Amino acid sequence: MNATPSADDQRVIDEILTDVDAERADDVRPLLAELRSLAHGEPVAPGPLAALLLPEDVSEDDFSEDDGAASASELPTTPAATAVLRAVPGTGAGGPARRGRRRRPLAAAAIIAAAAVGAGAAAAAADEGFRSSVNEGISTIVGVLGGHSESKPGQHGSPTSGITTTAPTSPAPAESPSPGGSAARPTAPQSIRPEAPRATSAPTPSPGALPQLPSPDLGVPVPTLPTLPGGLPAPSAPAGQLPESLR
Amino acid sequence: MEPHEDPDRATRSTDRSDHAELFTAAFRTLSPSVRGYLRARGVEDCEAVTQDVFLALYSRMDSLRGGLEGAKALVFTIAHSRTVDHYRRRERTPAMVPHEPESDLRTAPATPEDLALAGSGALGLLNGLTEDHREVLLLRVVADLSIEQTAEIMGRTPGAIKQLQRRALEALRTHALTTELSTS
Repeated sequence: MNATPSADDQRVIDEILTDVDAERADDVRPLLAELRSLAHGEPVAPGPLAALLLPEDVSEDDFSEDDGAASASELPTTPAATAVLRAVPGTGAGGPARRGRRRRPLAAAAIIAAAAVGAGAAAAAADEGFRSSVNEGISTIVGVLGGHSESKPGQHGSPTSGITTTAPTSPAPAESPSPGGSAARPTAPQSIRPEAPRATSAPTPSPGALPQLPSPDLGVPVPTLPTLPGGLPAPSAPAGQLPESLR
Repeated sequence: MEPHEDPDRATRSTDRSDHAELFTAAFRTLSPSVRGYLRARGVEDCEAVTQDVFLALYSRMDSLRGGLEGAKALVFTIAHSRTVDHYRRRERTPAMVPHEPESDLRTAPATPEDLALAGSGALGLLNGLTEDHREVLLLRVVADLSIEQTAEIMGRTPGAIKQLQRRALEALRTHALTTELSTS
């Protein structure tokens, strides 16, 4: 029983007993004071949900019951209150929801990039030229690793090797040899046999000239090369090197 | 019947941080009286219902006006509605609990023996009153609401509330005198 009601409790009781005569009011006053004690007590411990909505301890003195709406509009804004409002989903920025939203573009970009790489690989595998170039590249790598790094007849030389060669069969400029002219007789096939590739890694054509492919050693006579301009002597193989059948 | 909600939401001047602070102050200030009101009305698990009342208040903070005084009127409006819902639900689904005489708070019409054994606490004072008398006294004394606010919550006119309050005070006085005579 609240034996000594506070001033606020006394005000509440007096308001109720305004229209009651004094004798009856004296009888009811202690009963109303006892009823008023129900309004006091320990504050209710906030539950899990209510605790999220209670940012900090705000004194009730900050709110004047006489001000009405004006007191609510003049409340100070504290960062803690805003921080708790951010923690409530949908009320602000931050928290796990925002981190999840931030990861979404990265995940989408990764998926798109993976799909593009897969589509490109499928398209490249469908191209026959791509497959042949891959096979050639693989065979080259296998040859290098296996110790057969020198170029072989019939193998395309690399024009970008940058190594100067001493190929004896430099092609002549575009000048058609006359069949009945002073063209030399067909020389021995050894004269045009590519020996330089054995000495060098790859034949490198001179600038402005087409790359010279090495001719295979077929053992049959080949046509003579056209004469070089400028009166240069035509290369001729020594007779001793000719095969016996051609002497 | 919730006149404390602002129909024109565009003209409100409080933002969310103000609402958070107002809600905190309302919880600290009004939660004991709300729990006392619910306890006096016989609501089971008044602590949980108090939490429910303030969660309902938070969802209506955007339309609240009047500061802490408006929040108090809205809080007890919600608490009154929860009490009505509690009694309606209890009428449909009777409580299936084992009977424990020590914790059984149900009362029968007062007999001289019951009156002799009845406690003289605040809750015992309300046992002999009708539902309306109990409600008007709780809203006026425990909730500290005005005549107009009580009339809005109970759906009556201020004049009817004044008349009801007068009769409730007379019934309380008679009940107290009867209890005093029976115990003496």
